[in-house]
Amino acid sequence: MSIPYSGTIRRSKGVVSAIGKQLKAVNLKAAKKITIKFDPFGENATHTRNFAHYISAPKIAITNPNCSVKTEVLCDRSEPTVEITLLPAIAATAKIQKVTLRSENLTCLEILQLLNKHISSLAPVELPPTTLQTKSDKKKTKTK
Amino acid sequence: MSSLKKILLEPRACLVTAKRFRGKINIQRPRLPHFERQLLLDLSKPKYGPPKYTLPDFLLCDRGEKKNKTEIDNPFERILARECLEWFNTSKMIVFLHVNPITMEDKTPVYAALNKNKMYLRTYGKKIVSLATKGTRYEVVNELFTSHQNIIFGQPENAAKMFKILKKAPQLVVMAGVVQDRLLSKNELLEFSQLPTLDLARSKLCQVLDSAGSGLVSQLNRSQQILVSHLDKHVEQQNSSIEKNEKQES
Repeated sequence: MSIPYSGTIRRSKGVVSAIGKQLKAVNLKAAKKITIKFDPFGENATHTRNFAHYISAPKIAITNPNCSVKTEVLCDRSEPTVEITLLPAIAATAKIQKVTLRSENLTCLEILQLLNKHISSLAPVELPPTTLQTKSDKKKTKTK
Repeated sequence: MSSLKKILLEPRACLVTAKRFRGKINIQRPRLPHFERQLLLDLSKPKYGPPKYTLPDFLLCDRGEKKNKTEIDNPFERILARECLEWFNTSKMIVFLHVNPITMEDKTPVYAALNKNKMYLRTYGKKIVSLATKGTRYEVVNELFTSHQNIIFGQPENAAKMFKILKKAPQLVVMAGVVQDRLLSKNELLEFSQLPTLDLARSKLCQVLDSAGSGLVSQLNRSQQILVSHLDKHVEQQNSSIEKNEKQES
């Protein structure tokens, strides 16, 4: 009795490529401000710090130049958090003003996945720009 | 000459035969190698197995056995660790920064400004710092080295200037610091930078100590001073009244 094959056809390439995949999908158009707070001497600050490093990258900042990313250092051993304030227009439609991720027990990958789930999904869809047709192109389409 | 040849060893003259002379090399119809040469060639051919991505999982499983990574002693790392420890020992103020992505274009002016104020921004990795601080009093600092970080080595007098310079680079975030062998958090470092200079503090202390004695003296002399001021006023009044009378008479 053989068990029918189940599972992925392709093997995953590891955590790093998963993080890369999530980073490519990040879209900050819906976010007004992102505040990352951590205590450097806290036990579980590593993943939040790594997340702060990835999200401050210029490639991700290009998705929304008006969104400010602020990193704050706490001194009271409180848990690390990621607070994302949404744009008022999008907050009105989605009825959410702020998204707080308590990242004490979350890995960097999980934080990015949650960010994509809650923020990148709210990003407004951009229509493709209407291209102007030249006269020669119009003639070609007419003859066809 | 022949006697010299008998004493000294004769070097073997190597047999030189010309293989090619301007001609084309033959690669189209190579000669079949000799049987023994062919044997050696066949034995020395590399054997490659099937690629790992085509193999099923049960063949690739390592049964949870982790290969023990033997740590190779790297002398360059030891040198860097020694240099790092020297920096730690010679600077009275050490500030640890969390680094977000920053271009060298933005980082260089900060580096230059810090250098002008005798503060040095340096990057050491986790391994080097752990090698340097192992067994020393700075061992606690290893907890900070989990992501990307930089270190500023300087003197405590320049703490306020350091914060002013770092305001221009928000990608460099102050986490903690060691000032005169005391570990300070970020808030404590800020407070420390806002403290007045030592001379100012000493002058204030002198003022406070002086104030007790001078207060007592002023209290003791108060009644006499009041009497003196009253007498002065009385004399002035009398003088003014005498002058008025003289004016009226004239």
